[in-house]
Amino acid sequence: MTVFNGYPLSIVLAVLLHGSVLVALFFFQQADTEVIDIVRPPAVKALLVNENPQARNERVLQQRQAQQERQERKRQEDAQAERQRQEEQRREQEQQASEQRQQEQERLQAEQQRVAQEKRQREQQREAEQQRTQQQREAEQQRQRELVAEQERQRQEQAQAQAQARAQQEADARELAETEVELVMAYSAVIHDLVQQYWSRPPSARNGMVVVLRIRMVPTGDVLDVEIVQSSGDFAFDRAAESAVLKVNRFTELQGMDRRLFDRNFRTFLLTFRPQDLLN
Amino acid sequence: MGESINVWGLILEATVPVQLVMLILLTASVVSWVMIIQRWLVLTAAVRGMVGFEKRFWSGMDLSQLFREGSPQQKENAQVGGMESIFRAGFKEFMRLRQQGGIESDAVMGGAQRAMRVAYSREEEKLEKNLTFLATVGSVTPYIGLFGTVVGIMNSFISLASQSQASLQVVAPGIAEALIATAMGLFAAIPAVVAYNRYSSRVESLTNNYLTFIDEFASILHRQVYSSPNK
Repeated sequence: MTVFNGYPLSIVLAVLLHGSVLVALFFFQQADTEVIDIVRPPAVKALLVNENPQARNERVLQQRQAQQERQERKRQEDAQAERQRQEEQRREQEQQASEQRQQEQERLQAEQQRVAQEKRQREQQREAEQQRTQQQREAEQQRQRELVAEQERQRQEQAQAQAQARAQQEADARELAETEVELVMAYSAVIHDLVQQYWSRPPSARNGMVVVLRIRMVPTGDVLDVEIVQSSGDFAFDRAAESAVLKVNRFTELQGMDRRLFDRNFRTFLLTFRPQDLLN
Repeated sequence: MGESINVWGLILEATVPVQLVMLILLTASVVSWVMIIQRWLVLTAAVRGMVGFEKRFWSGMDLSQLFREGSPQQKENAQVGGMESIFRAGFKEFMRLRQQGGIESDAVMGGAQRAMRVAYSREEEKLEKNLTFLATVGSVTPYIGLFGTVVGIMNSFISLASQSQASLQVVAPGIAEALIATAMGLFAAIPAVVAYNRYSSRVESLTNNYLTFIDEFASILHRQVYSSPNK
């Protein structure tokens, strides 16, 4: 009996075995890939409300035009009021002048009377004198009264003018505030859109969740830090919103903004993050 | 399972270290299977030879005739193995010592036993050859596979770090690719371990049989030496 060495046979068998295993694997895999029906998870439908920058620019332009028109109208009104006031003053001056003239005439009459009376009646001198002094006093009183009235009128006018000016200022301020509010709203919409673009929806997010974030920025639009002011109640949602802001990192849209506007509204900015495009 | 994930695609697109590990494991598996099959052939041949020889040995045939039967096989350069080669070594030594004459019976017995022990250890060595390789493959390939897996997962996490959106789709292919290495390591190790245990127990039983045969044959020779006082 021989001891069978059998190396060639065993090599052939081993290689055949491995080859068949690999081929089987290959075919099973192919069959698998053919059979498997890929069930896609219900996708989040992203409704991107496209805010046309051109339209926004037009709107801003219209706003600016409206503002200019309003300012123009106001200036006209101002000029008219000025003219009215001047006219009034002139009228007053004329009145004053005529009154003075009247008084002078009266005084002249009185003198003539006095001369005639002196000539005619010595006795009536005292009376006449008395009369004159009385008249003088009366005139003086009248003048004083008029003066007081004049002063009173002037004061009233001044008050009116002041009131008008104050009203105008208030209107101006209101207009400015209105345009500013609109601008702020436009910019915050832009910020909200950007944040939403970078936002990845956590599975626990539901419609109606609102988180308020405080974003501190510098005028270049860079985000310094983010802080959750008011939680939505869902930790993952809060975190997702926060990290979305951090991912945006720089709101380049804010770069060209008016410095004053930025300082007042965007240096620390409260963003109410309220995604609208959730399906559930 | 994604549409693009396929074991073949994963293997082909794997990173270089993982592919290297896979290659090592594949060769280890192939070689260990070569050993398994070859050992199986050798051991079954040895068992068959032992059973056949024992039948002839105990059939009451004359020992010198049995020895002469084996000679032409050896001349044809066919390997004589197992129990028969032990018998031949012992008997040849015994005959040679007896024919020289003037040698004491104890010395004749001692020489025959020594020759048989030498043949036995040669046979044992032949049977146990390559079994240590199987043991090595069985114990080491899982570790190699694990190494490949760790490297693959490390790579996939490194690539994950550069992603802004970390999702399962990014990590999954890398981990799947890495796990193939472990699977291959186990695929190589399990048959090797099973074969090693099986074959070592078979080798042990064979060598026990050889040892018993040596004792039995020695007692027969002993009887022959002391039963013929004229020699």
